[in-house]
Amino acid sequence: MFNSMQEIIDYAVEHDITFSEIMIQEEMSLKGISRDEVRALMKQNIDVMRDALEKGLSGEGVKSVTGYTGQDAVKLARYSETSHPLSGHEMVEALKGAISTNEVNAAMGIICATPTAGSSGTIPGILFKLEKSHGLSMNQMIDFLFAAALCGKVIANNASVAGAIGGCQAEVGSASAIAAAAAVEIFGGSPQASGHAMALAISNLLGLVCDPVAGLVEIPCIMRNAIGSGNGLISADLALAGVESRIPVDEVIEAMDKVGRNLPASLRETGIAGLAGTPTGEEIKRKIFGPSTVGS
Amino acid sequence: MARKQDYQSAFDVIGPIMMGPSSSHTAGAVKIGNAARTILQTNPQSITIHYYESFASTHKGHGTDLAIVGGAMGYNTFDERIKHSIDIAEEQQIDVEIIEETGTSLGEHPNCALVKLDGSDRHVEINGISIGGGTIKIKSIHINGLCILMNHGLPILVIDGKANIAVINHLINDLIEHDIDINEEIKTINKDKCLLALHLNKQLSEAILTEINEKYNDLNFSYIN
Repeated sequence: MFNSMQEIIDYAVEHDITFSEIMIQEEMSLKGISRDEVRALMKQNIDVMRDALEKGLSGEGVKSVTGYTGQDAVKLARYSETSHPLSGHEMVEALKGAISTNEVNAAMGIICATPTAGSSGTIPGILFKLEKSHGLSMNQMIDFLFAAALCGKVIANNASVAGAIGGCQAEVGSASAIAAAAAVEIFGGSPQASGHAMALAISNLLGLVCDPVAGLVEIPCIMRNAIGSGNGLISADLALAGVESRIPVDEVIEAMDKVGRNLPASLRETGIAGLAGTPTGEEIKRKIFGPSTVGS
Repeated sequence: MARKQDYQSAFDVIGPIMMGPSSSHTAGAVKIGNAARTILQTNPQSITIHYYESFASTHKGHGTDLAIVGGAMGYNTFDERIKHSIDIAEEQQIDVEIIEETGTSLGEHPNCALVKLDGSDRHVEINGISIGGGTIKIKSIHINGLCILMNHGLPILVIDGKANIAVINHLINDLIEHDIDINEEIKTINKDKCLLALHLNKQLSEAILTEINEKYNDLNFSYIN
C-alpha cells in the first residue's frame, strides 16, 4: 500500500503502470477475488451512479424530504437545451449531472458515495459528461474510478474525507481532485500530470467550510457539487495543457489536513455557522425542526 | 506522511452504494448498527443509541436514527426499508431509545455513537465512529460484561465464549495457516471466558469462517466487514 502520491507517481513511472491498474491489483489482493470480479463490482457502482443521475433529470426531477431543495437539475437541462450557456454546453452537462445526483441523495434516494454522499455528484458529473462528450467506454469509466479511488485513499489516509473533520474541502474538494487526476490519466497525461491536476483542484477549493443549513445535506451541498465538477474539469485541462502546481501534491494534501483541523467545529458539519448560521439559514432550521433546536 | 491506513479498498472511496443523504451520518451509521447486530448474532429486543458531538447535533436531519436502527435489524446501506426502520422496529416490538449526549465524544471523533443491543441471553455494546465516506472504526466492544478497547477499521473478527489461552493460540494458528493476515489482536481473558477482536489485513472467506465455526463450537464468531 502506498503512503503518498509521490510514491504512487514514482512507482507508476518506474513500472510503466497506470493508477487504475495499481488499484485493481491492490483490490484483487485485498479481497482475494479475480480481476473480472473486481471490475464487475465497479461496474455495479457505475450503474447506481447512472440510475441516480437519470432519476434526478427525469420528469420534473426530485425534491428533498424537507422540500427546500430539488428540481434544479431539470431547470439547468431546459436552460441548456434552449440557450447557449455562458460556460458552454459541455460544462453545463457536468453541472447538471452533479446537481441531479445530489438532489437524489437529498431525497434519500440510492446513490454511490464518491467519496461521500454529500459529494456524490461531483464525480458522476464529470464521468458521464466525459462519456457523452468524449465517448468514454465502459472499460475506461471503470478505469477512471479505480484511478480516482487510488488517489482518494491517499487523501483519506493522510487527511480526511469527512466534513466533520476537514470541512467541505475534504468532501467536494477531494472528489474534485481525484476526478481530475483520473481524467488526466484516461486522456493520456503522465502520472506527474495527474498529481498536478489533483494539487490544483485541492488548492482551488482549499479552506471550503462545511456549513449545512439545518445540518441537512442540501444547502449548500448540492450546488457545491456543481463547483466540484467544474473545478475538476478545469484542473484536469490545466494539467493536460502542461500547467504545473508549484506546491507538490502531497504538501497540498497536508495543507488541506491542517486547514481542516484549524477550522472551528462550528464550520465542520455541525450546522451552526457559515450559511447555516445566517438569519435565513436559522429560519429554515426553525421551520424544519421547531424553535427548540436552534443553536443546538 | 500517511499517519493511518484506515482506507484500504477502492470501494471505501468509490462506494458504498447507499441510501442518502450522508455517507458518514447515514451509511456509516448503518454499518455501526450492522456491527452491533453481527455481534449480537440475533435480532435485538431493544436498541439504545447514545450520540456524541456531530451525531448528537445533526442525527435528525441525516436519518441517523433510521440508519442505526435499520443496521441493528440487519439492513444494508442501500436497503430502502431503512426509511421506515423505526416503524418496523415498533411493529416488531423492539424498544428503541435515543439519547443525545452533551460534552466530548466518547470515541474521540465527532461522528460517534454508542449502540447497546439486548438479545435473549446476550447484551452487546459497541462504540463506533464514522470517519467519512461510509467507513467506520470500532472503538470498544462489550459482550455480557467483558469489554475491550480498540481503534480499528474493518474487517474485524470478534470471538467470544468459553476458551483458555491454549485454545485461542490454536485458533490463531489455524487462521494463519489459512493465509489470514492478522494485523492486531485485542483481547481480554479470564479462566471462564474470553473476548477477542482480530483486525485483519484481508477479507475472510465464507468457507474459512464456516470451517472455524464448526471446529471451535464453544466459541461465537462475529465477522464484521
